[in-house]
Amino acid sequence: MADSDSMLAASALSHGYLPDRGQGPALVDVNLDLARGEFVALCGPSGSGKSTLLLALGGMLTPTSGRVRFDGQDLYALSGSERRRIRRARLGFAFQSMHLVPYLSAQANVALGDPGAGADRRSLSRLGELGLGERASHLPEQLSAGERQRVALARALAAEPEVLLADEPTGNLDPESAGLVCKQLTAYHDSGGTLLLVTHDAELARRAPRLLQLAEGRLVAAAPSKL
Amino acid sequence: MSVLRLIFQELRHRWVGALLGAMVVGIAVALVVVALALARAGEKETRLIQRDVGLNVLILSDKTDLAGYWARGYSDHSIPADYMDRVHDQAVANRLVPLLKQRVEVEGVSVLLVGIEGERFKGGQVMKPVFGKVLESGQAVVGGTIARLLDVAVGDSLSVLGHEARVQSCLTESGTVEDGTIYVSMVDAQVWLGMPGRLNEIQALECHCGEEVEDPLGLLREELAPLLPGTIVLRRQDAADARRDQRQLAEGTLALFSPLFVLLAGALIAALGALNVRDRREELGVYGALGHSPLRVATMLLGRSVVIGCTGALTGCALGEGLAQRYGPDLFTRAVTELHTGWPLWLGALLGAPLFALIASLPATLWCLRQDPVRLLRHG
Ligand SMILES: Nc1ncnc2c1ncn2[C@@H]1O[C@H](COP(=O)(O)OP(=O)(O)OP(=O)(O)O)[C@@H](O)[C@H]1O
Ligand SMILES: [Mg+2]
Repeated sequence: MADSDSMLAASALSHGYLPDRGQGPALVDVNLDLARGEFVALCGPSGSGKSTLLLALGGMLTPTSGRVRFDGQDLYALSGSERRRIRRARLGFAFQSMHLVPYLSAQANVALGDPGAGADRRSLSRLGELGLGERASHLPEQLSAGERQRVALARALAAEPEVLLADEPTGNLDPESAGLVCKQLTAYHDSGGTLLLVTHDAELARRAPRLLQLAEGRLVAAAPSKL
Repeated sequence: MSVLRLIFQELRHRWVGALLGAMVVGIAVALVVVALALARAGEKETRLIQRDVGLNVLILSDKTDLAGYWARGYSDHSIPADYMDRVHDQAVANRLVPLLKQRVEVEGVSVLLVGIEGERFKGGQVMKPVFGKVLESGQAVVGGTIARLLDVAVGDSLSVLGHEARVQSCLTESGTVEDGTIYVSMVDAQVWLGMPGRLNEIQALECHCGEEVEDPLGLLREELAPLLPGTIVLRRQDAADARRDQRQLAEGTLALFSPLFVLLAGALIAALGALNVRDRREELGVYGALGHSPLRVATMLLGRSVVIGCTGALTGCALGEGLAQRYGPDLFTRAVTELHTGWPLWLGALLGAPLFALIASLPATLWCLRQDPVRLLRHG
């Protein structure tokens, strides 16, 4: 599993949010491996644990048991600050519920994801590519849900990370905007990025060479998607 | 984006909360400022009022027939005037006023003639004299009843024991022995009464009024007897005790309320700081998720508290000072200068309020920094 081309891997990953309150586990013994530069789509019914898996893979949720390897490093054996540095520079995350900072403009929100110098300029052009050039100075509350979703994606891409974890990035989008997002994701993948995408969008899922299916916290099928 | 800009963006966005925060800090600081100003002025005013209630220590020659003293109002026996030079070296009596008293007839009216000299303070202290004016030779201050009976006014001439004295002021009738008194300078009295270099009474204020002493009179006598041989010390119990009690009350009020107000203000500021961190959990989760350093996040949170603390402290000082100046004089007539709180307190508030705010938001901040970002994001 730890072959040299593995970028992000989970082994025997389990997570329970409130086990002492009798809640069943959100993830059960999940094993998966994303090769460097791979594009994988993750599907499954609501509540099946997709977001939970993504958060655990993203170094933001310490799992109850099991391991996550990022580029060969055991993510949760690292110190908090080492994990933080990986999130800052090497791993992009687009949240399902966006989580934009309410008092910052769209552009400033995107810039938050970019640790490099010149972040302001880059974030503006990134917003342009997602069809939000006109909205750059708006606050999140002045944006539609679909616009906010694209800002969240732009922020996840801002650091030009090696891995992108995107949780339903087209959930609130009309076909035209979904097309823009799709284009961005494809471009990211084409430039060598490793992409794990949670989506209910069949169109988008079909673009991924590999499709994973979660049900009740377990990976039930890991088949190459039929194009 | 710099941390400072983030702080100000957040303050601008949540301006109502920020304004409320600054207002609470401001009001808390203003309360402390006003309370301290009033308590201080109250204490000073109490002291001034009490001083005017009268001197409560009496030093007479030990040959004095006390029954006669109380009947006539003066002692038949004198003590050396240079005793006044010895009273620096003790700590039990202050504001010692030398007096030479005798009953005389002035233009057919029986008058208590009192030679008086500027008071002496213990340990060479400098203070404002009780008896406003020190009389010069040839001047007289005439008690209210005598002025009426003799029909004299300021500027008139008065013949006392064959000597001319010009009336420097007439006191209004006050219902005390003062109404039947004429004050002249000590030197004049000594010459006119043929008693150069002599006094027959020293009045003073008891000093240790602040604290509780088992036997105040014993203490007075013990300290003064070796300095002033041949004298007897009397203490006006009621005046002295009332003075002590009142003063203890004023000081106690000040000592009790200032830390209480400071603590209450601090608790209020603390609660606000903690509430702000609570409100911002989602956003702090975002910074964590994006891998921003804990130091940066902490600076942002604590910096905000400091900005609000400073703004509140400045407003509070101005407000408190304004209120004290505006309404204080309605309460206090003489200790008005004490109402001005001055820069040490302002500096204290300017440092203290932000510090309180900072310390108050510290626990919540540290708690935040130790969480998985996801736990914070959940509070969106
Ligand atoms: N913070 C939490 N505390 C307790 N239980 C949680 C929490 N977050 C998620 N869960 C539970 O864990 C399970 C998996 O949730 P998760 O959000 O991963 O599902 P999902 O597949 O992303 O669903 P959706 O498609 O609706 O986004 C669900 O049963 C959910 O109720
Ligand atoms: Mg989800």
